[in-house]
Amino acid sequence: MKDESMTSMERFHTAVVLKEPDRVPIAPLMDYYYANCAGITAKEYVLGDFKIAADAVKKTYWRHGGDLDMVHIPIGRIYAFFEPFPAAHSGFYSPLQVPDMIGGSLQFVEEPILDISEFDLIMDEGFSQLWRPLSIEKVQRTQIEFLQILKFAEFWENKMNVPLYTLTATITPLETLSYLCGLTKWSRYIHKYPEKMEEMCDFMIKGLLANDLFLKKLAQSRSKHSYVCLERVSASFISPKIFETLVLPYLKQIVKINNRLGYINLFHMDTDWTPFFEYFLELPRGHYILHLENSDIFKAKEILGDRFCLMGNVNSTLQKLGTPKQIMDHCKKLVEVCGEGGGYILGSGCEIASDAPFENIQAIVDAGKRYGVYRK
Amino acid sequence: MTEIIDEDGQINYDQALLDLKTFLYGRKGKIDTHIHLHDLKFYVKNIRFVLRSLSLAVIRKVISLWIELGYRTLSRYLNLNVIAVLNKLKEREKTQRAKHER
Repeated sequence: MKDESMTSMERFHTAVVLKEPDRVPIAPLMDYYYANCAGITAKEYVLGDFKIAADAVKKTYWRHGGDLDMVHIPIGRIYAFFEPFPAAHSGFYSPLQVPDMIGGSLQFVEEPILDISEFDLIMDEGFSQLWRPLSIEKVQRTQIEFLQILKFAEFWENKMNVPLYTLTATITPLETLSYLCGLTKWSRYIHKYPEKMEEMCDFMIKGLLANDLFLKKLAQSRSKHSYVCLERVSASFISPKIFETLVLPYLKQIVKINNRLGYINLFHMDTDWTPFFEYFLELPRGHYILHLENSDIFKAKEILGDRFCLMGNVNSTLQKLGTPKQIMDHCKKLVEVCGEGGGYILGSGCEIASDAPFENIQAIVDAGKRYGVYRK
Repeated sequence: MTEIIDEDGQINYDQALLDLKTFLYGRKGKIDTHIHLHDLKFYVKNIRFVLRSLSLAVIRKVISLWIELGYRTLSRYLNLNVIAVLNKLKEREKTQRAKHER
């Protein structure tokens, strides 16, 4: 029996409200790693029965000793066939490659499919004009799977008291356009046609917010995490000026809705956000998790630590190529610095590499348990 | 801009549905919400799969969703995001096939 005084749900949400739980929550984000850990191929995980994927999550949880304080729904397969919205990953817009191998992961083959000259047409006829052919049967099957997702959520959130990473997803309009236009054209459009880009972003934000609202209502998640994809609008891609005009106003709208619904803003922040940290102080009060990847998390603690819960950021190179000792040492530093006073969740930068060795991921768990205890 | 949620947390579902529709099918776009027999057959054929997915907790969630959204909103949402999606996918496939043949 575990010698711990809090459930994972309590521990996780105590950190979110910037307090000290019994110990630092251990929440590396997993998706295709579940398949690897359960010994099934990416193809079985994505295209097989939902139960196969759900069982892979359970197997992984128990292989890591039942010490993970968060699980994730098998999201890749759901994005692929359920989401007619152009989020980062949707089979409605990109062809899919699903490797039939253990340790592989679903790949979305990104191709530019939208030109700025077509923006007016899209506003008149809608984004469904960009859909590519998908197996109707697979889409229907994924629609039915929604009931299984509810069952999955019920099991983890209410029976196991383990929070889910998210059951909803939204994205800022500018980032969505990067996936549809392709990075090269997108970069050119931002500089050459900022007004047209803004007009398109204004058009898109309403639909993105409405879609996210309905996902929240359908999912009825107890964890109440509202995932906001922030991958390609960071300082690695755009200038502060562009962030101020084409990202921040829309991010504020997303936050406003989440706050009104009583949801936690879960910002999935890939790449490097360090030069943009100060902007986050402009966001209204509310509950936030900043899930960082390649940003300076120690600087984030200094600048944002008294208002935002931080999560991260053992990066995928270390997960895959590091030794368990190196990972333990890195996690020790993360826990000691970022965990000071609460408001920190030990996790991966983005998600765990699909082919990461088991013992390396177990090192994250061991480090959290060894160094992350606030009180006995 | 009409907001989908006001300061008191009141949700304007009509506006949310309109925003959703405009995004997917455009300001001028029309949606086809006709249920085709072939699609219906799929759901009937997979009824065991549907039943297997159910549990008391899931039924509770579906009922609470029904109560919160109401029949009108829920059916309009399903029309938009389930039936119209399938019909649009089929239409897209036809258009693309015709393009290839030309």
